Parts: sequence; C-alpha cells; structure tokens
Amino acid sequence: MDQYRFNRRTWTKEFQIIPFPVLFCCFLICLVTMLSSCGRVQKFHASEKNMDYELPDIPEEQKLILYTAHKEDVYRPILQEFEEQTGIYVEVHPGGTTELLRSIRAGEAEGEADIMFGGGGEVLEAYKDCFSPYETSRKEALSPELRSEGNIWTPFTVLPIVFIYNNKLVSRDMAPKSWQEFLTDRWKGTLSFADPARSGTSYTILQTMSIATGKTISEILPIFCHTLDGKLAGGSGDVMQRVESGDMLVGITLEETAMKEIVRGNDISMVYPQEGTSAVPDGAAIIKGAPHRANAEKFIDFMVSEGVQRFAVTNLYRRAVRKDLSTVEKTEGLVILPFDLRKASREEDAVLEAFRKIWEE
Amino acid sequence: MLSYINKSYRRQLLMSFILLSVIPLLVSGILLLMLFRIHVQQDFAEKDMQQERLISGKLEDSFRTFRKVILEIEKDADIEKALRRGHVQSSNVYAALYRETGTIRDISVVDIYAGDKCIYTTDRGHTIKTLPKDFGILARADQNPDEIQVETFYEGLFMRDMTLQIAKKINANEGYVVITVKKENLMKILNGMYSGNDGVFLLNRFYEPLFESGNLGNQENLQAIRTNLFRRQHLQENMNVNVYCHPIETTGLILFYLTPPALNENIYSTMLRVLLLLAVLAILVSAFLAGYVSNYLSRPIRKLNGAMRDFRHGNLQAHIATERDDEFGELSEGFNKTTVQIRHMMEERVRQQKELNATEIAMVQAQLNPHFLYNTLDTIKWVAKAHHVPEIAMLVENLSKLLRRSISGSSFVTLQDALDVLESYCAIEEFRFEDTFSCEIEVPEELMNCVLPKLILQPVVENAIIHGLDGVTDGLVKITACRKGDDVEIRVMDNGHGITDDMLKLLASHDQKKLKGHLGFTNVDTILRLYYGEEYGLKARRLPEVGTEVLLRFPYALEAPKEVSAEIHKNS
Repeated sequence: MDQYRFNRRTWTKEFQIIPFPVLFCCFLICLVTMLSSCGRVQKFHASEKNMDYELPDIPEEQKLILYTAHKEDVYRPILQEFEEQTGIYVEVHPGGTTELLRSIRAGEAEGEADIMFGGGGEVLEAYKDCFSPYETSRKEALSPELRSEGNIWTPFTVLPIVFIYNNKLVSRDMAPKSWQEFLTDRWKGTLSFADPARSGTSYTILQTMSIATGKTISEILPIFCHTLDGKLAGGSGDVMQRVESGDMLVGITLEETAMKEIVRGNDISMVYPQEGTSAVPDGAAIIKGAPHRANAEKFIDFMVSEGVQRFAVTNLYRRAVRKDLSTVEKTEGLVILPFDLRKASREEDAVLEAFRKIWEE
Repeated sequence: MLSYINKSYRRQLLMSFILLSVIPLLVSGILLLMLFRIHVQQDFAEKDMQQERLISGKLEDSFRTFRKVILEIEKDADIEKALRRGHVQSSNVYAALYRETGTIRDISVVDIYAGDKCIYTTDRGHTIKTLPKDFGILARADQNPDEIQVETFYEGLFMRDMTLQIAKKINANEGYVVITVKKENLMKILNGMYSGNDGVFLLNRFYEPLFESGNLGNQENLQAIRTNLFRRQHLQENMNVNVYCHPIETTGLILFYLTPPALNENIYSTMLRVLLLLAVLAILVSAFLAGYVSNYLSRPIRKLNGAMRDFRHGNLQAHIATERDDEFGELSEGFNKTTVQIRHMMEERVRQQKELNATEIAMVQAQLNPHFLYNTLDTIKWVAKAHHVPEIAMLVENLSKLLRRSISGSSFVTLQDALDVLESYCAIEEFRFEDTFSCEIEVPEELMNCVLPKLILQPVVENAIIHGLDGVTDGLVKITACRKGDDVEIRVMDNGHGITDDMLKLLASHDQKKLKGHLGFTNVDTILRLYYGEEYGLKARRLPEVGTEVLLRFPYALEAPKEVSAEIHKNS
C-alpha cells in the first residue's frame, strides 16, 4: 500500500491504515458493551438506591426448614410461638402427607429439609428410611404406648376417630353408635367416607373398624363397600363438608375436625363409638441429612412441651401425648382400643389394593 | 477486509463517513438512554422512598398512639381497681376503657385480660375470649412486665387469619391489656397511601406475613422476598419490581413497599430500537453522501488518471479540460502544461536527431568537396592553354566541372545534372585509360528531372572502371535508368571481371576499416540510406555472363526533401 513516498510523512502512511480497523473495532466493542450493560444498569441501580435499610442476614444456626402436612390453623400458631420463644426463623413448606413424604424419599429436598411435622404414626413408620431417630429430652413425660420404637418419630397429638352426623337430618336416637352399624344396610349410601388411597385417616378408619368389630379387613371390605354404595369423598376435608351440607347423613372423621366444626357453630354432632375407637398419634420426625439438626431437635422438644400441648388441647381440640395432660380418662364414653401401628403400616399397600379392586366392580 | 477498504479511497471515504456519523450517534444515543434511564429510575426511586417513608411514618404514628393508650390504661384508676378486685362487669370500667380507647377503637379492639380470660373488651358480641397463659403473647408479657409486646397471632378457628397483638402486663395480679389489630384495621390505617399497582407487605420479625395489599402484594412476590431473605441473597434477586424495606421501630414489624419498575421493559426496548433505526438511517445517509462527495472528488482524479494513462500509451495530445479553480483545477492545468512540454521536448529530440543525420551526411559529402582543388585546376587549365597543350586543358576542364558540381550548394541535383557530371568524369577516365573503355548512358527523358543526391553516380562508375574493367581492353560501362513504381532504379553495368563474393560480403558488412579503398562505394550507400531510409541504397551483383551490375534505388521525387535541404544550405 505505497501511497505516500515522503519520508517525513511515513507516519501518516501508518496512520492511514490504523484508524479504520481500530475505529471499527472500538465502535463494535462500544456498541456491544453498551447494549448489554444497559440491561444490567437497571438492575444495578435498582439495587443500589432502594435500600433504605439493610436487613441483617439470617445466620445459618437460626434457621429451620420445616415440611408440614398440617393445616394452617394448626401449624401457624405453633410455628409462630416456636419462633418467638427460640428466635429461630422457620421456612415452612406445607403440603399433603403423601406428597411431602414421597418427595423426601425421592431426595428432592436434598440437604434442604430438616423436619417433617405431621402425618400419622403409621405413615411415618412406613417412611422410616427417610428419618433420623431422635429421643426427645421430654421422653419421660410422654405416654409410653405412644412412643415410637427406635425413636424414629416423636408423637405430637393423639387423634381419636369419631362418628359425626348432621343434626338437622338425624336425631339423637337415630345417630350411629357402633362400628357394626356400618356393616349393615342401615347407612347405605348415606355415609361420608374418603378414598383411603387419598386419605390416611380413611385407612386408619378401616383398620379401626376391623379391630373394633373383630373381623379381618378382607372380610369387612366387601360389605363396607356395599354400604358406601358407590359414593366416595375426595379427601378428609370433603368428608366433613358433605355431612355439613346435608348430602350425607353421617360420617367418620377425626375428633379434632368434628370439635372445630361444632365450636364454629355448625349443625354437627359427634359420637364416640360404642366398641371403642382408635386414637392414633400423629408426630414429627427429623429428616436424614438435616442441615439444621439442632434446631429440628429443639422443635421436637418444643412440640411436646407443656405449653404447646396445653395449647393443642384447649385451642386446637386435640389430645395431648403427655401423661400429665392426658384427657382421655376424663372424657365420657371414650374407649381407646389398642392399635398396632406397625402392623397397620405393613398392611397398608395390600389393603389399598384390595379396596381398589372391590371398588372397581 | 481492511485491504479491501484501503484499496479504494472511495471506500475509505465511505467508511469514515459511516463511522463518523454512526459512532457519535450511537454513543450519544446510548449515553442519553442510560442517563435517562438512571435519571428516571432515580426520580422514581426518590418518590417511592418518600411514599414508603409516609407509609412507615403513618404506621409508626399509629403504634405510638397504641403505646400511649396502653400506658394510659395502665395508669387508669378504674381499670386498676377492677383488676385488683376481679370485677367482671362494671359500667364504670367500661366507661374508662372506652374513654381511653377513644382514638383507636376504629382501628383496633382492646381487651383487658385477667389471667387467661378476657374480662373487658371493646369488641362486639358476647363470645368469651381466652388466651393461653403459658403460651403466646401473655406468657411473654408476663416475662417482661415493663415492656410492650408486639406479636403476630394466627387465629385459626374463626378468622383463619393473622392479626397483630400488642400486649402489656398492667397489673401484677395477672392483668393484661391486649390490643388486637386486624387486617381490615391496617387497611384503614393505610388507606390511600399507596396505589393499587404497588404492593405493601407487613412482615413480622420472622418474615411471617401479617398484611398484604396491592397488585404487587401477592403470594409470588412474598415467597420471592422470603426466599431471598432465607437464602441471604439480595432482596430483589429474581424480582423485576423495586422493593423498599423499612422496619417499624419498636414493633419488630418490617414494612416492605413494592413498586413496579420505573421504565417498562417495553419502553426501553422501543427506545433502543428507535436508536438502532436511526443508526441504520445514518449509515444509509452516509453511504449516499459518501457516494456523492467521493464522486465530486473522484471525477477530476479519474480524469487525470485517464489522461495520464492515455499519455503513457502514446497519445501525446492528451489534454484535460477543466473549469475548476481549486487544487484539482491546478492539477489539471499542471498536467496539460507538462504534456505540452513533453511533447515539445520530444519533437525537439526528433528534430535534433534529424539534424544529426543531416550533419553526418554533410560531413560525408564534404569529403567529396575540396575547394582548393578546383581553384588549382583552373590555374592548370589556363597554363595548359597558354602552352598549347589541349589534352591537359580538356582533362582539367572536365575535372573542374566535376569539382564544381560537387561544391555547389544543394545536396540534391537533377538526374540530368548528375549525368553531365558523369560525362565529365568519363571523359577523363577514357583519356587516362587510353580508350580501353567507353561509357554509354541510356536514360529516358522523363526521368531527367528527378532529383537525387549529388555525386553518387560517379563513385559507382569509378568503381566499375577501376575494379571491374581492370585490364580489360574493350570495356564498357553502361548506365541505365528506369522507373519502378514510386522508385527510380539506376543500373551501372560493366563487362569486366565481375565483382567477387568476398567483395560483396565486405560491402554488405559496412565495415569502415576494411572498406578503406572502397570508401566511395560505401559512402554512396550510406548517403542513400540516410536520405531515404534503410530499404534504399546500393546493391551490387555479378552478372551471369560477364561483368558487374550495381543497382541504385531511390524514390522518385521532383524536389529535394525540404528541411534537410534548408539545414544543409545553412551549413555549407
């Protein structure tokens, strides 16, 4: 590119060639950086200016990641109290029992879940491979028959099963009194019962029925299904709803649920079964690999403390697991039948399968 | 790419135009955009912060009022009395209660607790309210009797919602005052302080939500904020809204105020698109302008380029016509002048070359023009006449004629004149050789007037006599002429020995040194060639039977070539 021959101007020869590539490159670089940085600018400034106040970081030792199957009205006050008492921040993940347990087992919450709060004893027993045993310091205060073997889980409250009936449609005399009645045609098509595949409570009801009537489940199932007459509620909440609305005359559910509705003023009445009933505890268990194990242990201890247990009795209409707060004896007509949790958890799959088969006919 | 651009200055021009127009445009455009965006964001942020301070100020005001009321209740004599004596219903107490709570009854419910039972309340209805003693706010109020507790409370049975409780122990005998603030109360307090497009969260110490409101006060944003807090990420991580937080002093509550981003992404991308469009437009305009300007500049350059090329390829008349006054005009003028000069120089050279040739010829011919010989011969002639020796007179006279012809002015003579000279010469030679030969001339009449260089026939004839007829007793030299097309051919024939091959070769070689004795012959050849060109000249050949023939060829002309004659005239 011999454009200039004057010696003193050889620098212009180079100058001629440099600006264009240099300029062009600079131009491209400027363009690219500016366009891309514009996106960042907004974020950058948004984050800078808007902090009127810096919130302090939550230290790791003060966190607890809790999975719960309880309803909000049960876990909220308890968690709030736990937070206030201990200063631990709780990250709560509510959900259905089976759904949560399945995700824990699948390891979906790898290293990010500390404790499972809620779920019946037999269910927690069935998933014991996910949990890490813990013996609460308050163990001695608990009723012995409610303790889990190996301390896989710790009981929280005891939930007896009761019959309910719609006050308006069923008189006191006509009200169901025994389990046996449900194996007759008396309440055919008018019994509110949830699909056991969806509701743990329903499964427990079946087991209780078997214990109370002395018959095996395989004997009961066909007759019971006959009684149900093709009508099945979606879940345990639905059971109550159907009786309240008058779609069904009677139902079988947890005492706690029934009490709450009665207190709320709904036209429901509750009956303790004559033969007796089961009072299966629900509980909490520490998940294997919990990142904040110490806090999870604190929660379990808290859960079985006097204050919480009393609160559960008076405000949540449940029954305590503490010996000193046990109200079972004080309740007229309530007979607790022994319930083999382990047997129940072993048989679950088979029973559900059998139920499904019969139901499809 | 770079060499491509650099090869044509037009492309260089185009590139620089484009860069000059686009770069400043884009740079300033983007800068403006950025500044604008920053400015707008700052403006909005300021406004938002102000709004947020208003909201938090209002809340703090309300809480200050609550505290005041609590303290007043604590001091109230009637209420104190009731708590000490454990009265359940007393219109005085209620009157006191209602008096103290006058300012806050529209935004809260005030209860007096004795132990876990509520004994006085500003609430409607008859329900007997209880709060656990060893659990919840009363337990803590008990633990810290001098402090006012502020806690969120989840009421699960009836409301199934969070409320705020403010409690204090006001009596050593398990007397507490509890103010309950529900969501609708908070709505009332904050009524009109934020727009529906914003979002407001009131979270407790543990980031549990007490109150959510506004379009942006939704579950999704709440979860995002809580996740960020728990994961210790930046508060606004993964959120495209502005989040301002402000703790409400002494309550442990934290206000979160959310506003939509200042500049909608759409607006921003539209502006960018417009900018890019402008850049494209700038490029187009530059291209057009560059084309126009470069044309304007390149036309004269191209003209110059073309004229130079023309000139180089031989067109010496190349000329650039231009009316421009600027540097290009000067350049064109310069070019024109230069070509003219070059043209003149070349013509001068040609002329000088021709002059040189002519000079050479003159020099050659000068060898044939000794002046003094002529004068001397004249003298000899007169002496001879005086002494009555006519042979000498005849010889000298012929010689004189010869010499006269040779120093006469023009270098070209008519054929007639040349033949006359030849006759004189022959006369002398015949006498010398005692008539051993004779000379015949056969030239047609029409050729007599053609011109030819002088003294070219004589050397040839001389050659024929001396070399060809050497020793021959009845020699003949015959001179004939004829016209062949545009040329004239003169043949000098002799019936002598015939020229040898060696001689022929020597003559053809034009070697001056070897041809010493035959100078005349080569001179004639040279003269003919110089005047007329290489294709003319002398040719000798041996005749098949006997003798030699020398052929002179030159173009037929009735006049000598002009410039040459003029110049020779000057020199001689």
